[in-house]
Amino acid sequence: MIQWVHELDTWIVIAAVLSSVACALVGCFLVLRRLSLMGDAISHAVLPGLAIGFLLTASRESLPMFIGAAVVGVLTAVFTQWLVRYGRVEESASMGAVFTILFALGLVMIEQSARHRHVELDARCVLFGAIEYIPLHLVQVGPWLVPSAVVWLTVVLAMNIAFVALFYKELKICAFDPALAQGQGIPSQFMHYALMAMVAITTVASFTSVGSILVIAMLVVPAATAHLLTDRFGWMLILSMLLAAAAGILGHVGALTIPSLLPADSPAFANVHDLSTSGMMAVCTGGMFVVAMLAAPRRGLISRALDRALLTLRICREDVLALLYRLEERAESGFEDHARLAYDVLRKSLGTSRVLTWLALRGLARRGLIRDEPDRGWRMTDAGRARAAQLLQSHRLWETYLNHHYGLIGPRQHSAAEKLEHITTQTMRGRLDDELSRPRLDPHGRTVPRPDGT
Amino acid sequence: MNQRTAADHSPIRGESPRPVIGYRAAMTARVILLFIVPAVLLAVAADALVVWINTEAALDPLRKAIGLGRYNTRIVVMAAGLLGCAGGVVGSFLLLRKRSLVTDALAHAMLPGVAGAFIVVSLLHGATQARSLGALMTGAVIAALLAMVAIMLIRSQTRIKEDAALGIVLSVFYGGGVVLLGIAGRMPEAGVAGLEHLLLGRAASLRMEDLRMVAVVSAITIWTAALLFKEMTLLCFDRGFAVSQGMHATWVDATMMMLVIAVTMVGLKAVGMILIIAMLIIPPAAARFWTDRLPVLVMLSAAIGTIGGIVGVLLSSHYADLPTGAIIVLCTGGCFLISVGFGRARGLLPAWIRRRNLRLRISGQNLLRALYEQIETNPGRAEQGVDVPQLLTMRSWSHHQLNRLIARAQRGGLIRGHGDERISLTAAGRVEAAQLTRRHRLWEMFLITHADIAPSHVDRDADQIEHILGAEMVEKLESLLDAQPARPPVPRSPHGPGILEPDSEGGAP
Repeated sequence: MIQWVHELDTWIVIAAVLSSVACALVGCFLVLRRLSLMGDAISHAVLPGLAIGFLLTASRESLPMFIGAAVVGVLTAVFTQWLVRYGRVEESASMGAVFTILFALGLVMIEQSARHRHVELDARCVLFGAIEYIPLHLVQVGPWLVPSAVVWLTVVLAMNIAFVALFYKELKICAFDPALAQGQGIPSQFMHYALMAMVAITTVASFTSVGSILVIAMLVVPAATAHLLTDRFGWMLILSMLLAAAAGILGHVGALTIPSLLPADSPAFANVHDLSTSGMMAVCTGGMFVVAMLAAPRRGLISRALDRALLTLRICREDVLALLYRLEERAESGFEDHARLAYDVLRKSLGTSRVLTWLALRGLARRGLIRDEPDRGWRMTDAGRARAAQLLQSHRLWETYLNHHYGLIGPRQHSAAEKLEHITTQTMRGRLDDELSRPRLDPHGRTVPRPDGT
Repeated sequence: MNQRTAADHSPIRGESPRPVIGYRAAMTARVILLFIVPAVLLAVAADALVVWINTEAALDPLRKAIGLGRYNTRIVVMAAGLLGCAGGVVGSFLLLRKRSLVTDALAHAMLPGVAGAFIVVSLLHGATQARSLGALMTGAVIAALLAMVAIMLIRSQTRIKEDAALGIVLSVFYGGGVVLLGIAGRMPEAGVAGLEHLLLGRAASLRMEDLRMVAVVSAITIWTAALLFKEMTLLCFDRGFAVSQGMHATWVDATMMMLVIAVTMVGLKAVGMILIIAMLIIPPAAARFWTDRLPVLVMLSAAIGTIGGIVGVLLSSHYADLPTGAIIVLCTGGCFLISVGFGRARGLLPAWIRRRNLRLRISGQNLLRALYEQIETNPGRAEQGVDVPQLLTMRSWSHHQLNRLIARAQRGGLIRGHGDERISLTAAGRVEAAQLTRRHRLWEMFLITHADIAPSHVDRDADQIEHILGAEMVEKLESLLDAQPARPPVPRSPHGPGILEPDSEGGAP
């Protein structure tokens, strides 16, 4: 299914992985410091620096190009800061103004140079990247022939790792609390601009592989995905790099395999043999983000919905028990006849949905707290009665407490107690009881049950 | 219309519980005023426009010289001008609403919409249909709306902040667009060249139908902004208050974003989706340097956008290979740089001049007071003049600075030189110096009597405030301190008799 050409595809994947990992590492700091858009701005704005470096050396990977990009990257941050401070322009607007002007300037320079010399840096490369051409420029490194882009990416990745490893503590403090960092004597301004320079250099290194716009995906998305998955900073760095690497591999594999999934008989797609690798890399990071958003262990939408559903179910179960207890109480004091407590009767008194009530009853029956008696309907077992008595004790103790201390009466007191009863532990119940000096009756004159035998 | 004016001037206006004219009549008048009149005006304007564009014979040499000789260029110039105008208007609100970069995300996110629409339409109807503007624009708008929803979902459902949400949506949508564009490019007889020009803009490809679309969208945009001016202003400055006034803030917000999407959409062909945000961000940011008033800001921003668009197109018509979008942005950017430098309200040069003038005024006043105090301690110097080296010891100023200040004050007619490094006050200078010293000492006394500050500490505070105390404030201080305004004009210095002889009070005129 995949036509894997070793000399081409392996190098492409290596370049993709290197560039996305390098981006993800600095991206984590951008995301945490809420500077993602600065990454956006810098990746657009390095274009003139790149173009100057390129015009000087006529090569896509060269030292002047990196220096030019780093300078322009820092300048973008500085200009934005100036506009905010001296012009009092709002930050995102000043960023937008700076980077669009620089991008336009770079574009004109690149187009001009492309027109006058026969060179391979053009607007297409800026817009889409040219990862497919990476294996074509080989250089001799020791005994091997390696694509020059791979060499540069390795160097930049190593620099990024060294930068983060050396300044790990400083970067971490600056990321979470710049004021504290300043207070601790860490030059947070310097760290900020150093970070911006690293972003610019990484952007330029990744420029050939993913292009100047898709590099934003590599900077922001793996880091944001990792941020959803973990609360530990170290893990976030590692996870984001792993995710970025996976995106690099999956992106290229996807670019090669997806065309075979298109309808083969359609003449419209007959010529589609592969897709843009860089585009697919961005789409893969997006896919990962969506999956993490849905299925992250603690913060995912699914697990949060599940937590809520389970909580609702538990509360409904406890409400059923409390209802049965109250009905039994009334029957004992002779107010009402023994009715058959069928499913519908309970559901109507609780006002809950069908499925929820059904699930709650099943759950209670499975735990042996209630059972369905043929003529009387749902009734509590002894264990159920003990549990219900605890709930009712909590409820009535809370009502008494709220009444004594806050003077709440009637429905407000009831609804507050109704919520609190579900989260009251045994210890808390004991302390409430002691605090209120063990009342026999609640404000409504109903007995406070004492299932714990106190 | 007449009825409304009559109602406005009615003597019982505000007292009558019932409206003076019928609600229906008022509404009719409003509809005519707000919708029908502009529609007619628009039609007339559009007609004039078409005539202007089609005129070949009456071309004057000037128009030819600046590149308007070609029919095509005239279309493009009109389109870019209108676009810049509409972008400037909408962008002003966007700037104040702090949403500038949302547009960036939306514009980038239009790529998959455009490419997807191209693929779908060419599968259904063939490639010739697929490049029709309507289909592509529909795709773009759908993608932009999806992007809006995605941004809102990420922001509200996860702990990812707004900036990262924008970055994610922008780049992932764009990546999808690149993939789809790759597919579209390999389709038979497709020729996606037209699509790729949507990225960086290619004004030369604009046709009459594009211009018509730009004109309609711009007119709707500007008119909606005019209609909702009050609402949008309120929303920008105080959303909470707007909501508490019963305004449907969400709807106004949504309208604003729809206008943004519309302008972005029609701008794709001329400026391209990467740089179209510049048309929305840069003109208002530039206008912000000139004014602090919103109506002026909106109009200036529209003007800057229009100029940038027109000049950009004219320039790029000479360099056909260059992406028009980039040239337009650079022209608008030029306006921006000029505004940053020279803008009246916040520009760097006017701010520097204001600071410099203030500094000069303050040091000039310091000189006057120093002279006054010298003369005060020794009235005889009023005639003979004061030694400049003696003044030098009174403040931390260098000899050079002092000489420049003296020269300046002499030009202003406040100081008269006696030669031999001796100077004294002229009559005007004496009045001014007396007022200054008076302000200084009033404030010192205020601080001593009312703020309980030790006499040895008040001099520095008063030194700062004497330059900015207004006449009204001085009056209040006088009444507070029971100082007689007429005589003596300058109260005694609180620093004790060591400095000031009792009978030197009359030293001032």
